[in-house]
Amino acid sequence: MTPAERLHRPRTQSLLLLAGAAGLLGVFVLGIARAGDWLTPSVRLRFRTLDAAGLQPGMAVRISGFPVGQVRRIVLQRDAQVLVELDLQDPYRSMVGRRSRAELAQVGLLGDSYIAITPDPAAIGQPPIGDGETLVFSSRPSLDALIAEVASSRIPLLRALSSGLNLAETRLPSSLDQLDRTLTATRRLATRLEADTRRSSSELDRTLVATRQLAERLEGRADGTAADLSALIRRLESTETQTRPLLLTTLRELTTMASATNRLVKTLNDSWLFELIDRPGDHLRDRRP
Amino acid sequence: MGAILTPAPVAAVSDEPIQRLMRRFDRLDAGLVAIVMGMGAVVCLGFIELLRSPLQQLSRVTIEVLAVRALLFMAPLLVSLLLLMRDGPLLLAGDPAPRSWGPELLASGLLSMVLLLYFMAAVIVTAGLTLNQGDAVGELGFLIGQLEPARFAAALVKAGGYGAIAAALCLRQNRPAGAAPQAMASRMARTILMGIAVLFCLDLLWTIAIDPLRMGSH
Repeated sequence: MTPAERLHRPRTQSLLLLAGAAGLLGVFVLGIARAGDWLTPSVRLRFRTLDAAGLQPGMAVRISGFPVGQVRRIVLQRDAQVLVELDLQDPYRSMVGRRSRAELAQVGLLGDSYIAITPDPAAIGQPPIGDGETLVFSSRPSLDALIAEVASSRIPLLRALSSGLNLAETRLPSSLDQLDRTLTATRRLATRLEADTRRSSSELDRTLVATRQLAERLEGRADGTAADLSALIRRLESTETQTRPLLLTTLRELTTMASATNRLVKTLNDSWLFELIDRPGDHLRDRRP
Repeated sequence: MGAILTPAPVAAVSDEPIQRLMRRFDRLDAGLVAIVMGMGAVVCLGFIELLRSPLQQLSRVTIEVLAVRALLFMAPLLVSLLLLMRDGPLLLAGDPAPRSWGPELLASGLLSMVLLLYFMAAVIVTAGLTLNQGDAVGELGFLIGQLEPARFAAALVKAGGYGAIAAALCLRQNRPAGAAPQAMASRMARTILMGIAVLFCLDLLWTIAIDPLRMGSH
């Protein structure tokens, strides 16, 4: 190594600092690429609008409030329409379909504007939307239009308010008077009801006391009757016990007497004496020659 | 053959463009980087304090993004002026022939870009750590993502251009051959003054002319 080469060889410190600068550049580029979704595969979609107000490259594209892409380019066409191209990240491609719409939205009242894409439920399961396809853009009413609408609705609103005031002025006092009268009558009725209730309650108390006394008396009598009945039943039982053998004997004699009577009747029935009584001439006829 | 084996004179070797370029990069040391990063941190803290106290900006994200983007805009001018003040005296003693300025201009431009990277790193780290709410790494990633690609590339180009222009202004002071010799200190003072004026004018021109054109291009 020559002295000159040794003299001009870069120092380690300089090389380290240059390498650090290269690393910083890499970190910056990587961070910018990550923030700009350069590393995520995406599909390019577009829509047309008549007004580019509020649109700018780099603004977020969201589905259901979730960031899914960015606006890439805004071009004024020859027919004075504005062509907006946006990148939609590939994982969210299946949520967008033919029925999806793009519209300009805003986070809160003073927040950033963004492009909101309505998801298409019919697109799930269908082939994903292709690169370069055009969405329908539905513009939101502008502030001027809202102010004009408010201005146009001012007169009917004033009329409605004045009629409401008139109605309140004319009908409200009479309604209040009626309400007062109703309240007075209700108060009177409540007072009467209270007195009647007080009276009725004392009567009810007395009736309850009398009823309780009657119940106690009835209860005493029922106890005595039950004791009498028990004694009667016991007596009847003893009588039945005593009379049962006599009854049996009597019944047996009656049975014997009935059977004897039966035999007697049968004997008489078979005898000629009864035939004679029934047919007095027959006997004599058989004996004629 | 003997001439090859014989060590070349130092002056002859040092005149080679690559050697001159490397000699300039040798001057990139930890002290210069520390000064640049310190300047970035101090300017960023001052800017954040300005946004927080007198201007009553309460949104943390707004303050961070404003600080980073505003200092990205100012960074090329600041690092170029710092490089001018540091390497100006060296360049005043350089070769007055314009055809030999190439390596010096290239080295100054590249060094200015390198310093810009360190400056922005210091700004982002300062902004991220000053208003950090827990997730420092996520905060730094978010702030780096706030650097718009076009503006970041423009800042790098501006830094390179301003560094080269500042070097050219220094080298130009030796250009008039046969002029009456001037004191080194006097030339250096005039060069620094002229460099500051030219860089401010260029930055103003960029702000007025180029930025609106670029912003309106979409």
